[in-house]
Amino acid sequence: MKASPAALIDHAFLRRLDRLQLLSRRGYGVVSGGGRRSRQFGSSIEFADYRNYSPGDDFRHVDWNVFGRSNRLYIKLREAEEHLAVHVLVDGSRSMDWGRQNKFAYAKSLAGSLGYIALNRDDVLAAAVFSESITQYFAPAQGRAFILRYFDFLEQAEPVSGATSLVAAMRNYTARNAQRGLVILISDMMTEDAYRGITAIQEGGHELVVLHVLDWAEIDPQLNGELSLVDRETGRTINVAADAETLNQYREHALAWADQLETFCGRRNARYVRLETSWPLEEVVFQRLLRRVVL
Amino acid sequence: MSLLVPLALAWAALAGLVLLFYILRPRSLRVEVPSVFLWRDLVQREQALTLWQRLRRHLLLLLQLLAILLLALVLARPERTANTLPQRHVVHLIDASASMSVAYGDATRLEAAQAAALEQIAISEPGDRLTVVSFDNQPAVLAYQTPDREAARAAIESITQTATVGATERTLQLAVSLADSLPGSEVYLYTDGSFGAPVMPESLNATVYFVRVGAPAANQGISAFAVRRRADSLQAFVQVQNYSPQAATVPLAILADGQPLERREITLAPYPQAGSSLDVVFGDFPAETARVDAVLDHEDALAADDRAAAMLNPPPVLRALLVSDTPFFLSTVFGSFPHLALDHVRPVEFRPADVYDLYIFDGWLPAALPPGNWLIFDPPAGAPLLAVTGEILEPPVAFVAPEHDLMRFVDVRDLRVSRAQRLELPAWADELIGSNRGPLLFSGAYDGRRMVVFTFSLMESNLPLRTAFPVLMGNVYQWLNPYRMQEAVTHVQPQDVIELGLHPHADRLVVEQPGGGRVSFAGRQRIPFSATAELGVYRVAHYAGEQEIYREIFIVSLQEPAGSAAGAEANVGAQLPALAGGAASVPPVELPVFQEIWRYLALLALALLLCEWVWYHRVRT
Repeated sequence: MKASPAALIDHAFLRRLDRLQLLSRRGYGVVSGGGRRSRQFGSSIEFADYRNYSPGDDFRHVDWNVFGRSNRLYIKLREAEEHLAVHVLVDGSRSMDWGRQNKFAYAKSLAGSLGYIALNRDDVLAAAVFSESITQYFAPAQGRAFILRYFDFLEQAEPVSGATSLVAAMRNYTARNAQRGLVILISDMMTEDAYRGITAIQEGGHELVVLHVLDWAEIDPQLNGELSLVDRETGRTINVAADAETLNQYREHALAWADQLETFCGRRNARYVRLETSWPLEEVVFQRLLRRVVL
Repeated sequence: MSLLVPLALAWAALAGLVLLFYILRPRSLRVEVPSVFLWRDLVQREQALTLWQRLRRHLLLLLQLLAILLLALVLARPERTANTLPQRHVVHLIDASASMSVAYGDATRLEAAQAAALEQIAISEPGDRLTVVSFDNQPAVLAYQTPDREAARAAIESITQTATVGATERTLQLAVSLADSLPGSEVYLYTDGSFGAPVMPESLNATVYFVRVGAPAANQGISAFAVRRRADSLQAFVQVQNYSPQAATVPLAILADGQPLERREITLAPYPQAGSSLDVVFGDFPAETARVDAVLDHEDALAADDRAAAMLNPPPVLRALLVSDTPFFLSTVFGSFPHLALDHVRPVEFRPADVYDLYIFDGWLPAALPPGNWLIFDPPAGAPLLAVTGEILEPPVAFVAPEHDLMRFVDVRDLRVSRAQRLELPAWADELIGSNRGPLLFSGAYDGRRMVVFTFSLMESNLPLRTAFPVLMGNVYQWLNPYRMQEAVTHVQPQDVIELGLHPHADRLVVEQPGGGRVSFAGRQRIPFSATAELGVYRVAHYAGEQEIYREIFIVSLQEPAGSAAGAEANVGAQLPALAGGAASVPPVELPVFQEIWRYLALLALALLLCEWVWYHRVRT
């Protein structure tokens, strides 16, 4: 299903996004003219501190006014500004192309919002759509100038066939972009290797935010009777007698699965936010993501 | 628990059909889901469920199977046995015999008995089983164990008076069988007790209550009546019985063809003294009288025994034809019998068109036997109905049937036969005299006609010279006489059974009853006629086509001391209290009662189907 993030995100919403910034729990060393304060000293115009001159220091950084008053050489330290490398990975498998409100379209809108925030804050943004591997890739870009390109990328992104493999997709992505940073994984996580995928992302030195996108019908399906359930990704079928008891069991099982995923993320110091496609995007961004310290 | 229709359990096989439907369930609806990832875990876990959990998942199937089994059980009509106190079974035995017609107050005894029985019905408990039996000399069950008091009441009101003598033995036997069906029954016997002292059956498992109806009433009746024909006159014998404990003088009249002939005043001693019964002879009235009536010309409690009648039509002349070349012995003996017109022809002169009541063929037979009864001597080979297979020389007498009517007072010990025809004894015949090589004399009825066959010629035996000859021929004449009933039947008691035989030349007979009823019979077999409940004259008309060729008359009258004793009230009071006191009182016992329980099972099946519906429509979805 083709959906336009721009169509979902109006200008008023974008203006509200201008005030937001993606939060990272740790610094990533892209210290050149970025939009966020670095723990390192840099060359921005913001004064940070003084230190004694050491041989080899750049004379351009000597504060000559202080030398004139104290006849001592001090190096004027300025705050460094770093760029956060933001990787937005959108699950484009067939399982995402489902739901009364399409999960993939919802994920693209979410990715658009977060990408906009990143680009607006001069973070380095890279994005990819994946299933078994990376199928569509948005090369790292920085600055607002890339916003429209980014939106175009998302607009043209399509779900692809094949089963989701998070590990393989991350391996594939790392081969293209090894810069460590904040990985925002937008997926329904309906894959066998979800845990291993999370582990693989973290082992690549990334900070991980999992945005678990679900349609409520996946938790509480409205089914009845003798059914052959067909997997959208694999075509595999399972015969189920969808009676009340079975549906109850399924609901409990699905909730337990999501809870386990959240617990696992918490243990791995990854941020986990469960999202339902019925929730308005504005509510998600300005309430749920803020509350979970993603923004 | 037992089943009334166990074969209906076969309907349970429908459960197999339901199982088949479950096995061959319709193809599942295909539904696309994002992933079966979560469902797969669930299905794998379900496979590890216990049998009970799996069955729980097929609750609908279980409910349907249970409903089918229950419905099959319903069709099999199960019943269970429960011990419970029985409802009362009350048997009402009501005497409807002739004596019950005696006036009692403003009604008859029968009406009084019916009123008493109706009172008992009225106070019976709802649910009591009521049986109503009327009896005279035969019991008749009018209602059997009915809980419907109206039906029992209607049965009692339907009882009508009969003219028959009462007899309790069979009635009480019937009461035994009726009471045995429900131990602890109560039997109410409504009667005037005119019968002799009844013997209570030892096995009577009931409490018997005698309800006496009637009060002492004077009655005298004719207990016997006979008319004897003398040479040129008639003589009547009348026995008059006084059943009252007081002496009585009654006028006795004799009517000849309805005209008073003689009247006498008879004085009778009190019952049961000697002299309470008196024989009176009336003699020498015209021989041509057709009907004689004896009448007690007075009013007493029972009118039915005050009149007796006898029909005295002169016996018809029997027409017989002797076909013989040597007719001497036969024409001599048959020519001596009264009321017999004997013609003789030689065999060559025989004409089948001549109609006789009796044919005597001696040594010759026509190709087809003419209608009538037949006496045959020495049948030739090829005789109709008789299989002559040869000759027997000097057969000894080896077998005699002395009990047969034909052999009464006949001594054939010195019978000698020089030659006889060898015959196979027909299936319809009885052998009367036989040798070790074949029958010598036999008789029987073929197609309603009687036949007597001597397998030898009189001329080749010493029979004509023996004293047994005229006796035997006399018996033969009586046995072959188609008009014999006229002489044999003197009087008939109500509900007696008499045997009617069709005249040899008739094809049907019609019995006209005193009340005007007509009963018609066809066929040549002898007919037991039992519709003799009415008192009066019965006319038996024999028809050949539409022509009446012969008429018989018999009279049904009440001429039996026991019947007239209905009025002898001395009997009544003496017997009943003793009987009532002797009756065993049997306490009610708990009886096994069979109760059908299909209704409960049907309700249970309905409840199951309701549960199945609720489960399917409300819970499962």
